[in-house]
Amino acid sequence: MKKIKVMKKLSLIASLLILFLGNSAFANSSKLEDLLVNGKWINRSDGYRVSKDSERTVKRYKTLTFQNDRTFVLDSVKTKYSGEWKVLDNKVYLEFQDSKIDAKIAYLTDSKLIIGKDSYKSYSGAFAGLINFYEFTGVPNATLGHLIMVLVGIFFIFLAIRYNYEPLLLIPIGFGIIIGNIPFFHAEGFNLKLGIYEEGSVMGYLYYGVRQGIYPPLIFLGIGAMTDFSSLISNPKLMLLGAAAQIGIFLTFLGALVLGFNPAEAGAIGIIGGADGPTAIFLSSKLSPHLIGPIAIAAYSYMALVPIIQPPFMRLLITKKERLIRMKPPRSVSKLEKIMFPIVGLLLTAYISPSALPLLGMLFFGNLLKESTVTKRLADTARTALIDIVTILLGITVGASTQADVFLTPQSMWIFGLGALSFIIATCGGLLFAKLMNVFLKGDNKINPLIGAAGVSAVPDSARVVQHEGLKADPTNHLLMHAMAPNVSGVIGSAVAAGILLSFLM
Amino acid sequence: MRLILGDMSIDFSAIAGSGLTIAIVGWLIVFAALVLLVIIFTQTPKLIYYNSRKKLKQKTKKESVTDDELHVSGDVSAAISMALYLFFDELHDEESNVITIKRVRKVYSPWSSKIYGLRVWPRK
Repeated sequence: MKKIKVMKKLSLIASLLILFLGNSAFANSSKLEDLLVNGKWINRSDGYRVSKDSERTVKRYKTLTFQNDRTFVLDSVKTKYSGEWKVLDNKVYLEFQDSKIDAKIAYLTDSKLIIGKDSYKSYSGAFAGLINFYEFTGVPNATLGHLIMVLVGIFFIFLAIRYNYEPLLLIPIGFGIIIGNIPFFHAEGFNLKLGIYEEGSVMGYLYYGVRQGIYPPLIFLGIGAMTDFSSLISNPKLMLLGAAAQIGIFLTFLGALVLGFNPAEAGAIGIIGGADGPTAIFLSSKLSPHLIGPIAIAAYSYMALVPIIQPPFMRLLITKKERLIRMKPPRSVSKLEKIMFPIVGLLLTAYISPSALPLLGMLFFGNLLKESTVTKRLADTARTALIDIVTILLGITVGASTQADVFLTPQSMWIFGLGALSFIIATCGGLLFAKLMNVFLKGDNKINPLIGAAGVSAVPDSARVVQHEGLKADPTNHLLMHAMAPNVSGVIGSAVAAGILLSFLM
Repeated sequence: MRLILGDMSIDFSAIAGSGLTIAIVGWLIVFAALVLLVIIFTQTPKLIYYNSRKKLKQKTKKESVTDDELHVSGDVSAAISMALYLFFDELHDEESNVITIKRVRKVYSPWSSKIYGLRVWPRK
């Protein structure tokens, strides 16, 4: 009982305080002028566009403050207006300093100040401050889209931690999605420098590396310094599987054209089939920068889902007998061959597809750092610290680029659909080409067609999936080394394909 | 050509022109680039190992030497590496055979306490 009494007293004091704060503007004031200068006049109206490209509008508080020296300040979304005021015949005349803005007349009715279509209500300065603070918190600016995207981010983090699916990518991307979908007030011409798409924001600066295609070549440098091409050099014919799997890119390109995307957008979407995140970001940054977010998210999520996407098609297209094929162990490769590979590889591929030079150049450069054996420090930096830093920046910014109002569009859904299709076509392309190769190969030169699935360049996940499926068929048949050959040639193939699309469509 | 599915219509004419050309030519170029690499790296070992092949022919007095005779397979390299590793692992430096146990007195301090250690990683 005692507690209830105390609570009642407290609530009474709180209500009195609110009444005092909210209505102090009217206390002891009968004259219009006194009313005007007491407190701040606040209006909340809709109609402010979120951004230049968006049709969505948001509500915004406008604050009008009258000073005793007959000046006023109108604080609107974009700017502050000031001018002079006077009262004549119970009307308030507002003359703006900016001569381009017409003078306005305000009327006071029912303790509301009416200016044109807008009505302003008077509040004390403290209450106006609270309203202003509330407006800039996440609560009034949150939309269903933001909540959906936060859940997507949490789902990515869950997949990475629970199932260990590409955690190095999914954790930064997942957290980036959460960062990018913290709602805050933004409207056209109003820049808080918070969001990734706002000029001058820290996230915007970090995203510059994605927008301009800076991060992907740096990632390729690290990949090159990590990759051992010896399985490819010892059995060069397996490179063809990497080429065959690139059919996913070109068929998806056609699919996107049919669905009404323009050729540049279709090219950027098609590259998802290359199963190579950095290549997808590189190409989309050049061909259709407005689609980087959905394309990167689709590419990385499908790369993480390789262990789920590929096995059903491997079992569907490859017979049990074929899965049991044992391949000849690869020969040992000399140091000279390993050193020659990045130099010859670069000269050949970059001459054919010079547009892919940033990717191919860095990939083969990284590999030369590793294979030359005299630049161990540089190779170590490229394959550890450098690639880690770039992966963090790339992951977090790509994730943050999925701001709900930009990301949740029907176009993004189509991109996700086409991306999945692209992955499936690429996998099937590699598997079927491996079967075709077996028609021409004899004896112990035959290849296990399962390794065709590794032609998509998701390194080393698709090779790992091949090993796993191979072991399921025969627990003593290890295909990992063989699968790494089409896997790394897939990286080269997808970079070449990106260069070709770039030169055709840019 | 147009395919109508309910409210949606899919226009195949979009791919009839340059789209199809880009797709076919693009894929063929990717193939060509990698086929060239295949050819070069199939022929390179023949050039690199020309001398070794010649010497082996003279040594074994055979008319031709197969690739298997010329190269050591990855499995064999791995086996040799393992054997060498195990051998060197068993080698010891000369030791004095004198074992000294030194008693160290430690006064407790929270600065060196493992309980308050901040460098413990969370484990799964």
